[in-house]
Amino acid sequence: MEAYLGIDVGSVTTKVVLIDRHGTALWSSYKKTMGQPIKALQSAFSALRRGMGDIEIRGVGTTGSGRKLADYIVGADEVKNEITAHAVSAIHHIPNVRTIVEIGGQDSKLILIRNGVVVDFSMNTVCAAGTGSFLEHQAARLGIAIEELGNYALAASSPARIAGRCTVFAESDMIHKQQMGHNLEDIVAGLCDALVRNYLNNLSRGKEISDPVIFQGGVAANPGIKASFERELGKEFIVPHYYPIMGAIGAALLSRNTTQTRFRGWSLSEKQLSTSSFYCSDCPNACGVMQINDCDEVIARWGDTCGKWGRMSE
Amino acid sequence: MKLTVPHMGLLSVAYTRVLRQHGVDMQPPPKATIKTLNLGVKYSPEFACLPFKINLGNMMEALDNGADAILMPGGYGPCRFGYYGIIQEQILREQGYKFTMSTTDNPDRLSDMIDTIRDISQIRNRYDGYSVFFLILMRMAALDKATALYHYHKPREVNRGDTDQVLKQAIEMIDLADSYTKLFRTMPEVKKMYKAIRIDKSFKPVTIGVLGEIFVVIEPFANLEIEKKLGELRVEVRRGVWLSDWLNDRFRFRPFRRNQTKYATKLAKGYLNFASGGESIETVGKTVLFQKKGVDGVLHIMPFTCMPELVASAVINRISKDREYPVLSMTFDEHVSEANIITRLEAFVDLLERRRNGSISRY
Repeated sequence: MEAYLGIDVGSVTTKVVLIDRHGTALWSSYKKTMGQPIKALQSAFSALRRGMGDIEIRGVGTTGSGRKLADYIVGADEVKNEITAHAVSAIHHIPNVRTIVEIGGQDSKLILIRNGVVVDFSMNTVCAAGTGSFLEHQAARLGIAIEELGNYALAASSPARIAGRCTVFAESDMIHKQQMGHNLEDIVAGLCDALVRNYLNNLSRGKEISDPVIFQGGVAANPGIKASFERELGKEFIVPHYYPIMGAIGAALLSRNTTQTRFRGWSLSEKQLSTSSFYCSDCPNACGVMQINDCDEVIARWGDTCGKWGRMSE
Repeated sequence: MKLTVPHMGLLSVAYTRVLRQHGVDMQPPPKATIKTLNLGVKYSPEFACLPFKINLGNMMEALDNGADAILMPGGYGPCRFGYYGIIQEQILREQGYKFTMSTTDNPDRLSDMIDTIRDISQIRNRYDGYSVFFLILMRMAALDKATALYHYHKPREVNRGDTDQVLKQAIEMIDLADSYTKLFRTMPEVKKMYKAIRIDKSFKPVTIGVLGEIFVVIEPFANLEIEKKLGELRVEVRRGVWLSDWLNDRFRFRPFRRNQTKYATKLAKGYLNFASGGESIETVGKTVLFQKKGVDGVLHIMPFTCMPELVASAVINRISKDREYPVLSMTFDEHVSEANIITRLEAFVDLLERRRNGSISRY
C-alpha cells in the first residue's frame, strides 16, 4: 500500500501520522517527547511497523520545532514550519476555515485564512504564558490529571479572576486565591480564562477573528479552554477530530508532491542513534555544535554560525 | 593615540584604510561576536537597546586590544542614540578604563565632520579634509552597491554559497581601493564578478522589503543575518534603509540620487505627518512605496525598546489593513530566539508565495 508519512516533533509531544493519497489518516501516534526526540521517533516507527505491516512510503514531511532533526534522521521530502503545516491541514479538513487557533506545548499561534490562503499570522515570541506546559505544570501542582483539567473548569460556578500576564504571577495569584478559600473548580476555570485572555492580548491584538474558527493543538483537548474562548469571543470554536496531530497531517499532505522520496527506510528503529554536542573554540562566537551519531559515525552536524562543521559532514 | 569607533554595518571598511593613510592610528573593534554581546549586556542598563549594547561591547574589546581613544557619533540624535556616547563613557570610566572620548556634536553638518577629521588626523588643509571625507562617502556607496547586488543574486544562485563568496571578495576589493581613481576602476570589476555567478534567470523570487531601525537593518550580527537567511529561502531582499542614503541626504555626494528622507516623508503623508524620530518616517513612507511598487511584503525589524520604530510599527499595521498588504514586525535583542525567528520568516515567505499564486492549488 502507498502512503505518506507526516512527522511533527514538538517541544512536548512527538506526532507521527500515516495518510493515503486523499489525505485520510490511516494510522497515528501521539507520544510525549520526554526530552528525547530521537527515541520518541524510533518507538513510534516500530509501533507503526507492527500496526501497519508492509507499506510503501511515497513521501515524508516533517514539521515542529524539531523538524530539522527529524529530517536528518528520517530523510524528509518536505521540511515545513508549523504555521504553514497547520494551515494546510486545517484547510484540507474545513475548506472554508477563516481562523485557526493553535495552542501547543511551548508556543501558540493565530493564523488568519481568507479564500484558502494564509493572509496573516502571529506567534508568541519569548513568553510561554498560556501554553500547554504551563497548564500541565499547574495541573500537577493541584494534583489533577491533565486530561481532567477541562472537566473541573466546566463544573465551576463562578470562576476566580487570576492574573494571567505571566506564569510566575499567575501561579502566585492562584495560590493566593486558593488560600482565600476559592474551590478547586473555580480556580481551574479562572486559570482557563486567564490563559485565554493572555492569548488574545498577545496574539490577536486587533486581528479579526472571524467564523469559522478551528481550535487545534494539544490544548484543544481541554474543554475548559474551549468554553472560555467561546465565552470571551461569542463564537463557536470547532475542534477537529484530529486536533493534536493536525501539524503532522499538514506535513504529510505537503509531501504528496514528492516524485522521488528521500525516505531512509524503516531501519531507523533498529539503529543505535545518539546525539552529542560540543562548543567550537575557533572563534569567540563559541557556537554549540550538535551532532547525530550512528554508532561511531557522524551523520549530521548543525548549529554553527559559519557553517564549517555542517559542511564537513555533508 | 590609538583611535577606535564602534561598528555600524560596513562603515568601518569605508573609513579605516583611508584614515590610516592620513596618519590616524586606527584600532577598529574586532568583528562582533557573542563575546562582544555578552560584554555589552553585562555592563549596559537592561532597557538600553541592542545597538547600545553591541556598541559598548565593541568599545570594551577595542580598549582591551590597546585602543586609548574613542570616537562616537552623538549630538541631538535621531533618538536616544544622541546620548549614548555620554552614558557609554561613564560606564567605561566606572570600569576603570583609561581613554579619551570625543563625540561628534553635530553629525548632520559637513563642517563639523571635516573638523572632526582634521582633529584626529594629520590633515591640516580644509580642502584635503573635504577630499578625504568624500572619498569615504564614495567608498560607503560602493559597499552598499555591492550589497544590493548580493540581494539580487543570492536567491537566484545555482550553487549555494557562491554569492556569499563574491560579496566577501567585493568588500575586500573596495577596501583596497583607497583613492578615487582606484575606486572607479574597482566597481566595474565588482560588477563583473557578480555577473559571473551562475544564476537561474527565469526564476522570479518573492520580494520582501526590509525596513526598520538602521543599525539592526544593516548589521548582520544584530539581525541574525536575516538578509542571508531570506536569500537562502530564495527571497529577493529590497532593503529600504542604506547608510549611503542616510549620508547622501545630509552631504549630497550623489547628485542624481533623490533625498530619501524627504521622499519618504512625502509618501508617508496621511499616515505619519511628522518625523517621530529614528527611521520611523522612512519605515512608514517606504512601506507605502514598496506596496505601490509591487514588492510582495514588508519585513520590519527593530531593537527591543526602540520607541520610534514601535510608533512606526503601529502605523504600518494600519497601512497593512488599509491596503491588504502583508507586513511582519520583529524585534531583536539578546534574548531573541533564533528558532522562533526562522519559523516566522518561513511562514511569512510561504504566505507571500501562496498569496502571489492566488490559491491553494499547490496542495
